[in-house]
Amino acid sequence: MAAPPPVPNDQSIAPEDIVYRRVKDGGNINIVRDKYGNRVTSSAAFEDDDDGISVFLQSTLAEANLEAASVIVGFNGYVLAKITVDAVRNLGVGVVRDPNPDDVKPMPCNVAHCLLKISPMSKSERHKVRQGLAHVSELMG
Amino acid sequence: MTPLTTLPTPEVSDPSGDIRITDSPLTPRRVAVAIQLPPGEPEPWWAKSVEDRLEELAHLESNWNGHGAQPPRPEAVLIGVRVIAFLLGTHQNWPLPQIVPTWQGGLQLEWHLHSGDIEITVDPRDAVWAYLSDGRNSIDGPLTEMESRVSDLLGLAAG
Repeated sequence: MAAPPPVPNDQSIAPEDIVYRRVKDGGNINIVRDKYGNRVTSSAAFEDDDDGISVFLQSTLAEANLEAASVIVGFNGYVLAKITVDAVRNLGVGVVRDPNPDDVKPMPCNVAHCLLKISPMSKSERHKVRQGLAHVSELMG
Repeated sequence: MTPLTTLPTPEVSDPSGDIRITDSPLTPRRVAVAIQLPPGEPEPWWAKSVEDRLEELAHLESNWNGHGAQPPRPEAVLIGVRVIAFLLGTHQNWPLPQIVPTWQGGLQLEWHLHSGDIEITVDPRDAVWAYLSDGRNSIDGPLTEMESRVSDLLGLAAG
């Protein structure tokens, strides 16, 4: 069987850069408690659609003089989960730039929009990647 | 809970007729979860918390996650209640799941326990799937094939 195609991955994005994911918090919608009672991101917060998983890149936000919090301006009840690009790639997930997508609410932070790309794999493997992303993510707030 | 009689259809119900999910087209959307019991039989101990949480999630609007997510579908809610009833049954001290929505209108039931992690995905278009992990090893499969492992973990957590 042929090997799956390599996952898209923009090598111009430094491993020490950070990506931010919007997570619905109000009512603990996508936040759960771990076995110690700590608030953590559910793996369900890292489900991908046909394009990938939407995130925002710290370095591009900084170039545009934007704070990370700009990503959730106007999104009441949301918090950010942050992950280093290196941690994302260690899970076999690629990071690609996708600035100003036309299917999202227009916002200044969209210049920093990126997609996390998961290579085609089984349902079980995809779920493990989501669990991995949730595990290495850090909730801000 | 809003009485079912005040809510219009559509409605989905369990074949046994003991669980009914009524999805109101009113604004704001209301989904009522009703567990029907034979006369004189007490409500399951987990029913109130599960009903409250599912109705809370049912209030989510389209694009609730800012990335195009759909609110839980009544069919997913029905299956979710069936799964919880199936697993918890009358085990009074077993842990309740944490219930979160998935972006395509499904649900995910999660237990993060000292004995291990359990995540069960409920998508009406797919089999109910269970993912178990003890921190070193993980295993997954259809819940129908994982039921005893899930029950073992929940029982361990209850002591």
